[in-house]
Amino acid sequence: MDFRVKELQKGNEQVFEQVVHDYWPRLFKFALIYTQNNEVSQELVQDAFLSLWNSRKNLKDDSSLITYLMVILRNKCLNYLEQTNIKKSYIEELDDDFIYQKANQYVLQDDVSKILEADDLHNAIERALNKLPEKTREIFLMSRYDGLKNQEIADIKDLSVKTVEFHITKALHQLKENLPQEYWVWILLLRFIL
Amino acid sequence: MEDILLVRFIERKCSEGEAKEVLNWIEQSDENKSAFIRLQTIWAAIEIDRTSELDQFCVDRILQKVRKKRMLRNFYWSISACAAAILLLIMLLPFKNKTPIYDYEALLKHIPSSKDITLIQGTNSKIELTSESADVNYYQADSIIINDTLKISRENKPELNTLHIPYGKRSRLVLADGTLVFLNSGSTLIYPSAFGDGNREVYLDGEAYFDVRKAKGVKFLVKTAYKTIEVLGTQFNVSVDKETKSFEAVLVNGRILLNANDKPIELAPNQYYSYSAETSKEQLKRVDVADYISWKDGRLRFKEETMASVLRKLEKIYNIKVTLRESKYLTYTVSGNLNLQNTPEETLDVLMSILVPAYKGKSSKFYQLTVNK
Repeated sequence: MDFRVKELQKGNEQVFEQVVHDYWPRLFKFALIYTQNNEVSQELVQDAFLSLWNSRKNLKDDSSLITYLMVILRNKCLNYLEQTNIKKSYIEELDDDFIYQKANQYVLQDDVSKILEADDLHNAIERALNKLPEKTREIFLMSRYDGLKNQEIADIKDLSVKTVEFHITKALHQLKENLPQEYWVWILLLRFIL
Repeated sequence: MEDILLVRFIERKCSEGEAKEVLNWIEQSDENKSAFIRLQTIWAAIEIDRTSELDQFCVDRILQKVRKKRMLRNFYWSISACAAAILLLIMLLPFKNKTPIYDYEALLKHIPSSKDITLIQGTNSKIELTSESADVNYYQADSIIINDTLKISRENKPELNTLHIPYGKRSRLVLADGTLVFLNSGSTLIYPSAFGDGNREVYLDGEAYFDVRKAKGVKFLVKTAYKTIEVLGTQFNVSVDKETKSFEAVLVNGRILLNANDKPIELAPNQYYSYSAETSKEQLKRVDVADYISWKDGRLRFKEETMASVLRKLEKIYNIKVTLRESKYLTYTVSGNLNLQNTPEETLDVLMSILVPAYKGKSSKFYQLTVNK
């Protein structure tokens, strides 16, 4: 059980401050990926934190704070996408943003993306990463976690850019398979718990 | 569908044509859609897992909101307790070395949308001046002198004052320490009516030219929404524009310190520093300072600036809106020197004659001018 939940129920602002500090980056990144708008993301993340604070007294003892926040944020992002997409398709404005927002809307409407709300997402990713073939894993980590560009990795590893791209794509595909099946089931159960 | 293309789509790296193609493919069948969703979700999972970038300003704003709520709750619970808290806050504000930016931003919200120059003392008294420009002086210990004639007494204890100059007007301000500030149109300065023992600190929204009076070892800080400038005694120009999300500083004399992206940097005279809050891009270059401070003497000098940027400055100065008939001119670079004592039409005609060689003052053909309410 998370001691912070009890403290929040009591209205401990310092704990709240810590929670905001710990989870803001993850929430903001999530909102930014799906809304693709800086200001909107800041606003939605703020709303999610404020609604945690406002309903702190109703938190269940065994709540997971990050899941709680992510569920709210995900709904807010989805609402935002649905609204802007309706507006846009109404005026037939098929611009670049619209294409990506439409695709993002499909993702958030699907239960599969609920995995992003999971409490132990980090550990699950870690385990899945360990199952990748050595070379693929190395290139993937250089790309995602060290922030190197494909060209830079190609230079260091003495490979072609195409090969680097191939390994990254392969890694993403295998990660998709590696995250254990139970995990998806657990995600589906989540809906009934919350 | 090629996986590589799908990943490129997820990372938003394809061309518009490719993107349309991918979206069509996704919408073709449930199977395709599901494959895309799984891949995108995994990609997003990695992205949100590896990020740790924190925007302190956003975090502070959230905490501020929560605290405000508590204040409000206390208000219902006990009015006197709340009043005492506010009183304490007001009394403490000028003495605290660091007033958080959101406190300043909160004060900005109190400014009425008036066409007149507005001076707000503390939280209660508000003075509106109908003149075109104002000269406000705090150098005498117990009073504020406005336009050399109007004298208002001021409280003994220091409090934050706000001077707001609407578009189309200008002002000159002497702070309690003798520092001279020219405030450009569309700008607001928040400053203490008297300085305490610690650092001197003011908050700027808009453009101002500072001539800071040296005070033994006591720094003078100009805070803005984006950057803070630290000086001992110098002349410099600062401009913050929340619409274009930009910050600019030009040093005339002496030394100033400012917090650049990764380290503090020191400007040398004639150096120009700019920062975009949108892209985080910075720029440092040598310039002719006269181009940046001519506005304080009622002139606008510009060298190799885009037409768009010159027009934006004129719009602020005259409180007008200018639309060019041909938008291609907006990207043209122009150099010149305009007298701002002229009417907007006269000034624009001069500008157009710089731009278009054979221009003969047939204004309506080239631009449309509307005066803002």
